[in-house]
Amino acid sequence: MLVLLDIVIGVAFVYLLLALICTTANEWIAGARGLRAKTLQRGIGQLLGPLADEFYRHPLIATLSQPGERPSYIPAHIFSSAVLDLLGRHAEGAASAQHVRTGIAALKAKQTGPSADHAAHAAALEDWFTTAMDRVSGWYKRRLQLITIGVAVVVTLAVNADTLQIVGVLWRSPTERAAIAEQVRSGLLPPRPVAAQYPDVNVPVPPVNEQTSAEDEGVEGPTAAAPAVLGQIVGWSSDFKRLNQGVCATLQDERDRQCADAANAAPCQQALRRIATESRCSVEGADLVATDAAPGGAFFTSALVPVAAAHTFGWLLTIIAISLGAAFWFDTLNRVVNIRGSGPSPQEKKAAGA
Amino acid sequence: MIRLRGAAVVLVLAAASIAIVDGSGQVLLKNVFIEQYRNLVTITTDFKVDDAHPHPNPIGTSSQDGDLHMAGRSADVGLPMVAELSNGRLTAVASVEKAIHQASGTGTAVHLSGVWRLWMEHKSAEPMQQGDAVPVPSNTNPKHVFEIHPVTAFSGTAVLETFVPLRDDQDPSKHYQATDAPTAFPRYEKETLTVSRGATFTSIDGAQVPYNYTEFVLEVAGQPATVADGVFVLAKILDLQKHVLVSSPRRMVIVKGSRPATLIGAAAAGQQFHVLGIPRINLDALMRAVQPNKTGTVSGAYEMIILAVIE
Repeated sequence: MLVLLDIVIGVAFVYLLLALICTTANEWIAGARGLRAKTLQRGIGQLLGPLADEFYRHPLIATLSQPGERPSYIPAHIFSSAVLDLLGRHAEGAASAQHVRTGIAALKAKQTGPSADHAAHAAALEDWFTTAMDRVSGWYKRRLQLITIGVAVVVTLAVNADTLQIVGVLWRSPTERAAIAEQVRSGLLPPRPVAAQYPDVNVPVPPVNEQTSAEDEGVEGPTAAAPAVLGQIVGWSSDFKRLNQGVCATLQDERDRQCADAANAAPCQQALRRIATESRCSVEGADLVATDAAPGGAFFTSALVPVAAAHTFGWLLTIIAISLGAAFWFDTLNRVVNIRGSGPSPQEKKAAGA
Repeated sequence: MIRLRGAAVVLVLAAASIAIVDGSGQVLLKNVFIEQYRNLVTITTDFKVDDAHPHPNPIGTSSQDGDLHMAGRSADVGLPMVAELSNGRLTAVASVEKAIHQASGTGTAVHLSGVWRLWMEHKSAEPMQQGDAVPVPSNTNPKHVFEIHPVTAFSGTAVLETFVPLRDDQDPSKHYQATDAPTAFPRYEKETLTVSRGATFTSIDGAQVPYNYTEFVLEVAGQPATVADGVFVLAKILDLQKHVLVSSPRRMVIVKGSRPATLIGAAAAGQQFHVLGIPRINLDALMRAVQPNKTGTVSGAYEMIILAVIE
């Protein structure tokens, strides 16, 4: 049971780290593409119709963003003030403002009955805006979700995060399991309290310069260790070895062929030189053994097909998982760690002791 | 998206081994203040008495402890605070009580000495930062974690005669029933404080802790150390049946010139005393357990102010 929990912790930990990478990338992409501002602009366009361009030029709105840019957030009261001001400038019945006037009239009639009161206009506008922004928020989330999936695909393939492979590594390797479980525990659970102590009972008021801290003893921050642990269970190393095997087999064949005949001294030397400079293979006795160096051109060969096929399902699981987001995996990890932290049941203890 | 960002921030913080400190109710003390008082028994300050109880508490159980409560402000302390005259039902301190009531509400600061006491008994939900403006208390027991308790001198008049078992001189038949040691000490021991030491301030936070007056037996563990205003000594803590409750020595805080100082101040290791005490946070232990610019959690960081030896 504990092994299974540790595997779940390990997998969730990897998902969390990858989801955090996705989140950061998402934010960067959304910021660089002005996604929030563009989505808001689309929403404002739907709300105000022909008045939208004039609305964005209004000083109350134009000052919400850098010159030449559109704001990514507009407070409801600023929206209503700007729109009311614009309506005041447009004569009753003007075509450009008719769209908005109709909307306000409908809302006011529903909420407070017909009235020309300025406050009622503002309230109706703010209500209209807030409702529309809920919809805009939905658009934004959907577009971000698409980006998330795209980023998740890139991240998953870049680090070769195959869920099935991760589970396999964690299942086979108790040390990897323990390392990850420890990482998670030290990262998520509060530090164990230090017991207040006076080492010398005859010195209740110790000199200040002799004070020591138990906090510093044997504490290793997990910051540097987290990527290291991650590197042990995801990555391309084993697949690169597999892809490089073809390169090594070719080189070995060439060497064997050229060097079999003493008359081919020059081509043999050439083949040996090529082997000596080839980082993808190492010489072990008479054989060439593939290393985990980047395969370079050998990556995009037919040898990739079986490798990719073996990973496809695992990658798909990872992509779906990390698309769920960092918050989801953080909560999940917390729950599982808490269950794990409660330790074995009395029955398990008894069985282990028997 | 906000949740995602929040989770990311939390993870980064956790990964950086920074304790996630719940900011609610913490007290932020100036480092210079801590260094000044961590190994002193008392504090002397000018104190404005804003409000005082008309009479000391009766003698009975729990909060019926004979204390005369007053709330006030001190620029040196710079925190919401109270001061408590212990054993206020002694005839010998009647004149001091009168002086307290005369000073109450006048806005004039009086010279006050007593044992400083930091304890999470009446903590606020909001952080308290030393040096912030302290509102005028509206009653004698505002939210506070800092006390001067017990008072040792008020406006130049020493009240060291209060360091005797609690009693009511008007009704000698009344006896105070303190919290029994097996109830109180496990709770004190269980208290875990989160300490974050910064460049100027140190924040301290912990759960609210009940049980003030506790009767127990202390067994002197080492040589007492005399400081300017009293004595510190490490001692084991036993219940009244002499069963050891806390074997790791805890620090006892004894006021200079008091009856406990006379009896315990020169005691040898192994001597036992039946005492009445109240706990306070041991700032020295906290500073020893957590290095500067670090955050940590510390358990057992309390020390006992000895109010009386029950002879």
